[in-house]
Amino acid sequence: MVASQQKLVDALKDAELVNKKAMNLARRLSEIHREIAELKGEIFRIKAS
Amino acid sequence: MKIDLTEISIEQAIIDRNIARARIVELSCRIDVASCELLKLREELDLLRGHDAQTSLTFNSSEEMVRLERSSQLLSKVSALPTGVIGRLSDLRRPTVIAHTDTICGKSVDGRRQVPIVRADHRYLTISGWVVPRNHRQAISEVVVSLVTSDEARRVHERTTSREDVAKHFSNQAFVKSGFQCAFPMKEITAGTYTVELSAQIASKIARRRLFSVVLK
Repeated sequence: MVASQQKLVDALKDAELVNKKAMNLARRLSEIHREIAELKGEIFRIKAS
Repeated sequence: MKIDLTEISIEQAIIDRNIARARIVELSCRIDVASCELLKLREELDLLRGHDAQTSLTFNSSEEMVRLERSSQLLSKVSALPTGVIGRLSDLRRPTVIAHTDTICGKSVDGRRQVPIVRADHRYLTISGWVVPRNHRQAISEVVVSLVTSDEARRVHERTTSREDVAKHFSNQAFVKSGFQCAFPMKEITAGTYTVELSAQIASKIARRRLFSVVLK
């Protein structure tokens, strides 16, 4: 494998790793938003009762 | 004419990686903001549910603070960020405060880390002082003072009081409402060592600061 091809493989691996991290963060943000929605619902329910 | 496709692919892979990095930063910022909102909602829910739920809230908040710290650590690991993104990041990070305790039960704290108080001598455990945001021009809108032990937490929400002297010292009129005064009924507090913690709301963010320990005898 020539040096430029090795460089390409490394760059692709790096990009994949960073993408995976971004996906994990997106999942985490989604969980937080879901929890926020649940809390808002609970607060609304308590205030209404 | 020959075109080296490998070079083009490398360039594209690097662009993709940089976009993903920027996305990580953006998501981390949003997580920080959402976490702050989550904390506020938990505190609001805690207030609505009453005093009994406050202990569990404290633990939830601590967990959330640990998660926030991890989020901040992740941010520090991300390198080669565009300067615009870094600028926005510094705006969204959890703010820090400068806090000072003037008196506890009417006596000067004098910079002590541990203050002994005899319960029988006072009807209320009163704490007064001031708090201003560090590196922020905005004023603090709400202050919460907490007495924390390993197994319980008591909180007092306090509106900020007027402190012209603090505003003058920092040359910022936004800091006029930087004082706080709170009172915990002694009959509701058992003897023991408590850590006094302060939470201050700056815009939509919450800053926390551990002030000192009080030993109730």
